[in-house]
Amino acid sequence: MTHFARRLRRDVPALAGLVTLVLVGAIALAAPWLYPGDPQDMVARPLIWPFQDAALPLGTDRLGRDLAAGLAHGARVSLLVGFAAAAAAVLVGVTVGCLAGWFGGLVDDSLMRVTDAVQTVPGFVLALALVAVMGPGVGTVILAIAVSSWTGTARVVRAEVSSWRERDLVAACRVMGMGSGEILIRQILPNIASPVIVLASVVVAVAILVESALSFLGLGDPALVSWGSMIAEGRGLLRRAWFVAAVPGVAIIITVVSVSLAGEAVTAALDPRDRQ
Amino acid sequence: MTPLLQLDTVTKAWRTPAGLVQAVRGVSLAVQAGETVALVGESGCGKSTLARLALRLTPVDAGRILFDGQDITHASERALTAIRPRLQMVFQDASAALNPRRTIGQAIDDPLRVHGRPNRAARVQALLGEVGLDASLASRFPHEVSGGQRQRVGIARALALDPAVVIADEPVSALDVSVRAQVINLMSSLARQRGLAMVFIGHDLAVVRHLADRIAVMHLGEIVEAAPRQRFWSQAAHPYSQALIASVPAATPAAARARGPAPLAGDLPSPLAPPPGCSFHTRCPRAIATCQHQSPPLIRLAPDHTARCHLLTHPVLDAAASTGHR
Repeated sequence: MTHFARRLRRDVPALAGLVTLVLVGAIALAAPWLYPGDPQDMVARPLIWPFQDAALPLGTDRLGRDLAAGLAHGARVSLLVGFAAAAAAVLVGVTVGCLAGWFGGLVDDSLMRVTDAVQTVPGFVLALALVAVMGPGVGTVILAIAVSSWTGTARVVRAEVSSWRERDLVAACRVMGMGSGEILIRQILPNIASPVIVLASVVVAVAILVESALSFLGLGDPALVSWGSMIAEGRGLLRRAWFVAAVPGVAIIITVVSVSLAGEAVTAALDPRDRQ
Repeated sequence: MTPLLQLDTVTKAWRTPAGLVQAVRGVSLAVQAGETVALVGESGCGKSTLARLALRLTPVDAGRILFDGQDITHASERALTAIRPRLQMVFQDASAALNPRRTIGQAIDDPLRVHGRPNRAARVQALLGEVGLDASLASRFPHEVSGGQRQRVGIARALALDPAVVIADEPVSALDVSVRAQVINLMSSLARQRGLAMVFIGHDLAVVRHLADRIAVMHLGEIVEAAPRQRFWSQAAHPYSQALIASVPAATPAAARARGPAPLAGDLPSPLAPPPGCSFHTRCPRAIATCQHQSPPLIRLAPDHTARCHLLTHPVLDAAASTGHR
């Protein structure tokens, strides 16, 4: 753990990403205490610009709702969707990739053809179709994003596993009588964690963007504030009050960038070769 | 006495885009308890494939593999679990055979854990001591120690389960010349102390010179000669063995001059299309007409000395050919 801290001190962008992400996470968790009550409630007159009123630092939207409260509550949805979808996608992707790469042959061929098929459908269109069929809701959005984003992980994991399978390490494990499951999980997976984590951080970022896009189109969970739905609210006011769309937009940008940077920090932390 | 490890006319061909590679062609080899057999041959002659076949890492095309009298040619992975601890392997490149994400202590502990052995921590310490490594290295990662130390870790891991046979596939080829002798001495003294049988695979006769009880020479997937060490050095019968002996570096320039130029020309023929007849005839300085179309039989020159060469059944021609050559 100490070498991780030391490494981070040298890598300022990774540190910044990690700190920002932790901060966004803390705000999301603390939202019910920071801004009790429904963020959809009208609390002041409409369209107060940011930094005008100390009680409403980010101003209000067209209906007089506190943008800061919306942002904090929206972070819950964005992060939940982002991380849950990424976790599900990585789990499916790693499982499919491991099976295809390890067993090869017919298993590999059939799993990879399914992967090809899913990959040919544009992710956002697939998510859109699923949400349209199953109706809006956080669970549906998570599922829709997960279904369309596990393929990249599956491909990378398959390539890595089939390359590791041929190395002497695996021969050595088999000579000592280790079973396939243990060789895969204990010996190979830790070695391919780096690309998987980098991919996972990309999936988190993409999931946050897709969720925003779905909410922007009105296909998010109508009961919840999300950054995407806030941007949709501000769309009609871009000329008069651009900040209504810009505030959640900047939040999305900051979160997505910090997720990517934090992914690199975690990768570096896991590599024992970096211990100096 | 039943040999501990016995290969009986084992054959293996690899399917490649270029065609069928005849890696191992009807090899028979028996290893008795406690003896060290050196398997020598050039790169690509099928030595490593043979090691993988013997360890059941690769399925055999034809032939049989027996361990302690038990046929394991087609034994299931489950049935092999009982055999595995007694038949271990040391790999050529320890950095490829050790997990870069696991410490040296974990690497040596792995076989003990898989087989549920007791007192694992103490065993790991004892094994490190046995291969001449400091106990403090247990917490290091493989990339943090030298190549020689890494190979010692590989040896310790192979010894962890107290095997009866260790197959070492070119265990010193990846090492600096300066540490080769140390690792070879370590292996030979461990084999002696533990009464281990060892199959030592190498491409360099000089390396196995002092280590082996018996030497088997492989050429293009076949064992062309096998003999006890002393007999091999003094009475090697196959022209290929003689060429290999002649290519061992001489100790003094005078000795090198006395021996004359190395008699072996050309590369190993392609295993995709082995030459008809004797696989060595394309490079053999003493080849006769028969060699080009007829595969030589296995000839027993002594109870423990065999060779595959037509010259041995054509003694007159042999003499004529060799005088003509000189």
